[in-house]
Amino acid sequence: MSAATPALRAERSPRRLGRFAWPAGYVAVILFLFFLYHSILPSLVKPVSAPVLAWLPVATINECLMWAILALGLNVVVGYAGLLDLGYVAFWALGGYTAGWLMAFPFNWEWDFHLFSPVRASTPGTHVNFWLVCIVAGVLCAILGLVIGAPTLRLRGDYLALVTLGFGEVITQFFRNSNNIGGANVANGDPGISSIDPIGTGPLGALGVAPKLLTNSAAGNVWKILVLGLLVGICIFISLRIREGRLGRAWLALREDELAASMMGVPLVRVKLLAYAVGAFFGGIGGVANASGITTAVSPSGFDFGKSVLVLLMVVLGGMGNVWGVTIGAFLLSWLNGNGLKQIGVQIDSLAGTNLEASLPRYNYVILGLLLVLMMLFRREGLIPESRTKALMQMPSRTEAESLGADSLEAEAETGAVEHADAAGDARIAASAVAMAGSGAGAGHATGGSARREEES
Amino acid sequence: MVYGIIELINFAHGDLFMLTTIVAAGLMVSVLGVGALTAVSILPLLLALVVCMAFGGFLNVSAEFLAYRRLRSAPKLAPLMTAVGLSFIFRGIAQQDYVNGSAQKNWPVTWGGPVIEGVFVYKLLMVLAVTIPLLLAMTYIVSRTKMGKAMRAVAQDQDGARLMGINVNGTISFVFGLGGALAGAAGVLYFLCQTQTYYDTGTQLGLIAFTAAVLGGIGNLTGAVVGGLSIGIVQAMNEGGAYGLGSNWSQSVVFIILIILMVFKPEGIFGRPTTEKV
Amino acid sequence: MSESMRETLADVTQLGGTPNTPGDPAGAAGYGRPDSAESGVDGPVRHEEPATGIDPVAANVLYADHITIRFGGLTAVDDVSFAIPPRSVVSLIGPNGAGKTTFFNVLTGLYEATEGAVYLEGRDITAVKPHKRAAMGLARTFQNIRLFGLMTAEENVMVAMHSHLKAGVLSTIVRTPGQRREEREARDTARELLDYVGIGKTVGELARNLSYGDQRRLEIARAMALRPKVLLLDEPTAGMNPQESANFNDFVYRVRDEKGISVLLIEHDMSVIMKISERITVLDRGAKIAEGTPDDIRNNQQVIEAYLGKTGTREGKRLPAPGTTTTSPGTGPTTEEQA
Repeated sequence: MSAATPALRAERSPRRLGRFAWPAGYVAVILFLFFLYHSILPSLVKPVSAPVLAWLPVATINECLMWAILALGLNVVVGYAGLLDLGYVAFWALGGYTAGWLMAFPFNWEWDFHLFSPVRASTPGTHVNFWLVCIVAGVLCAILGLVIGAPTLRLRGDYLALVTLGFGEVITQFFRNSNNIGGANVANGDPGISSIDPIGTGPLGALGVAPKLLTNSAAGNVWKILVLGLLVGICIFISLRIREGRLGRAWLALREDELAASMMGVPLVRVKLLAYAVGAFFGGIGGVANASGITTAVSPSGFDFGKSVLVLLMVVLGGMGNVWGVTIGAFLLSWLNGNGLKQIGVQIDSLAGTNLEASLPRYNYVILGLLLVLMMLFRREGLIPESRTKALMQMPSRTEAESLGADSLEAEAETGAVEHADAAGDARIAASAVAMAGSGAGAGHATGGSARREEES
Repeated sequence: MVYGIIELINFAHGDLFMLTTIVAAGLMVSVLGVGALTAVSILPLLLALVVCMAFGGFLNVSAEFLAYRRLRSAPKLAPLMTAVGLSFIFRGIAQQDYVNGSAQKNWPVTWGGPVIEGVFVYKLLMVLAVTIPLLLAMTYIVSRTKMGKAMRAVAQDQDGARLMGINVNGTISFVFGLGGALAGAAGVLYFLCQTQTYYDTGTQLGLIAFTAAVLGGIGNLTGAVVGGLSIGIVQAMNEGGAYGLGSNWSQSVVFIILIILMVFKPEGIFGRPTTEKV
Repeated sequence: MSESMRETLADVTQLGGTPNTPGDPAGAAGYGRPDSAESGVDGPVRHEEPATGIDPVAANVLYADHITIRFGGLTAVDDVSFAIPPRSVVSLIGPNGAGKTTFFNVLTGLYEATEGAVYLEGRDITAVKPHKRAAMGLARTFQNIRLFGLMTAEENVMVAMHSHLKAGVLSTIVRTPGQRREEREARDTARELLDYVGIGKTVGELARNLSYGDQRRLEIARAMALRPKVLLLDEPTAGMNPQESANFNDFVYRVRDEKGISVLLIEHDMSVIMKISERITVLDRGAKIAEGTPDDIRNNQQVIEAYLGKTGTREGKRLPAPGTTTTSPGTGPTTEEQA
């Protein structure tokens, strides 16, 4: 065996180097974007920098990154494990509210609690460090993911989608009514929680390199690119690592053939729940990032079924199961949804004198829906599919019977045969068969044999 | 019905229904000028029914033809996403100002006639007068006509049906048309009962409708009716009754029922227990 | 349930009756014939040894105790007991509709038996779920190959190792030395298994691109990755030509002798069954009608009738044609098989 290993290692190295291409590219893009907005654009002339800023304002970049976090989370559930989750917005919401509880001054609570927070010590309320809150939100959402996943374990496709959708609606309704849950104000209901702390920059802020608090100021937004880019990178890293291990293999097997996977020792319950948990974890992080970095507030009106579908569309468009495709898909769609349509409208207006700048963005849901339908009809696997997704989406669907294997078909046939067994008829056929074979030597011996047996017993 | 025949939960069905409510509203109020509802309103009502059923049927058949037909043999994910996409398109169109706008739109339609315990008698009569014949007609079509037989055959075994000379595509289109027509009728009734239209109604009600269908047993017509009535009662109890949590929580209550059903008795009241499936 | 189980066990370990005593219509024919004593095997293999009081639960790798399966009013399997001794090759045959697949599914845990119990190496696994049984050493292949077509051959095998690997989510993310070692070892084991079944070259190929024969081998390699005590093969030679069948026979012996795994074959191909089985069990209409060595079965009148009696639409291969197999001593000079 040891003779084989050096050969394996040699075989792996060229592959290994190639594996760094995408991650390196990603880091390069993030750094480029940062420097673009930090140093390059401000030093360029207006006519050059203005269109860039119009098409890609910094705020949009940050939004794209935040959506990428969500898309990566849903990618784990839908892309890796093949579980159709239409209520992903629930985790986003819970993450946002965790930030609201831990990084703001909600409902005029009496206490003061600071934990590594960059906010001034005199500010009332709970103020925990952004990164810690990310982890807490991730864990809380993972638990919620288990709660949502547990009843759905035995459901397939359509039912699963609808139940998860329902969960999304219920969570949203919960937060909408949260000002009066059994008399207590849990999350302030419709108005939500505002004035959520911005992200602190700790050592970098102290050194004066970056602003101490990353608010929605121009400087703050630029540095947020790094923070959010880092978060996206972490999510990508975690996704890829898990994917290469035994859990990732189990997810792939589960996605393809649940029954066979289970017969090969894969514990379906645990593996599915883990998919929900990991996916939800990312959703929590995205929620905190959104609440703290982008909107500085959280309210129920920001979470609806449409947002769940938007994230799903990002995953589908980008290529289910491929982290890079999904990230790109997230960028594209959130840009389109946020700023892109408006800019396209502006362009067309200047050419055709219409007023699309105002009206085109209002058609975003129609356009997104159209995009989804067209993708399903013509390019189901997405822009940059994972190699297997393409094949998986082209395969004809297994029917119910097939998904249980010929086993169930045959078992049914067997029970049918037993049901319709006609002993008398069979005996008649057997007798005639014996009679027919009577001309052969075999028949003679058989009847002789049976005669002998009759003698014995 | 659509589910029974091609095993596709038509996600967009609720939103199709929502569009028909808008059509009904527009037709009856803006075009026909219906204001106060009296016995004279029967004629506009009938006209609205015809138009909306035709609209619903047409829209559904088009959707099937353009989108779902190509995906019949694709993995389940594809038609499901397509349905979601269609749902989005319908909602997006409804949200445009020239159609309905993003907010709930109240229409100046009033009900006259006797009122018993807060219930308009004419409203009740109208609903019954429309629903019962339609359901009877549906049952008749499914069980007695040739097309109904074709529907059942295709639902059980598409290839077998095709080999027996049944026009599978035509049958499926017919089913979609029928489903759309029913949605149209429902739209008219809904508009007249609630006198308001809202772009999100479809999704909200769709969830409730799905729960009702599952409660009664998917694919089972009687079950759907029983399920629908049960859910309606549950909702009413929740909103008005002593132990109810109030209308704020109606959706959650219905949904919790759905979850419990899914986990413990997915085949519903009238469904056949399917062993290793759902 | 445990009540009747205890009773059954008591029955079995005493000198009391067994299903194979004369008077039991299912077992009468073909049993106790003096000829079989000369056929080179220690008499008909009985799964219970009443005289010596050996506990079949402990003595066998897999023991199914009085399994009955009823669907509604229909009895698909009727009081079948079945044992797989350690290091053996046994077969289960029967015409279509006999209940073999249903019984098989109870062994693997897909179906719940209405009555009866299943034991694996002495442990009661009647209530154990399929994936756990797989982890405990009960491996199976599928009649219609159910590989994970979009994963490579190596990955297919590695999936089956899931229950034996220990790495958790966090250690996978961080790639602790322990996890890395585990993965490396798993990969090595996978390659070894692929070599063992003869498709070592296809390590990195997608399973669905493999040839049919290679796919069958991959299924077996994957099943063997479970470190099974008993391997259930569901129609493994379907679609094989004679050369492949011969290779398969040798392979089964290797598995039994080199790896110490017991093999259960469910088959329609009689030539394979006759050649390599130590013991054949025949089911018909849900009941066991015969059990014994290949010779016993070949000459068993009831078995012959069971196969001939069914109209041959879904019939598999029948007993070998006259002249194609050798006879065993004691049964007469002329070939005696039915056409």
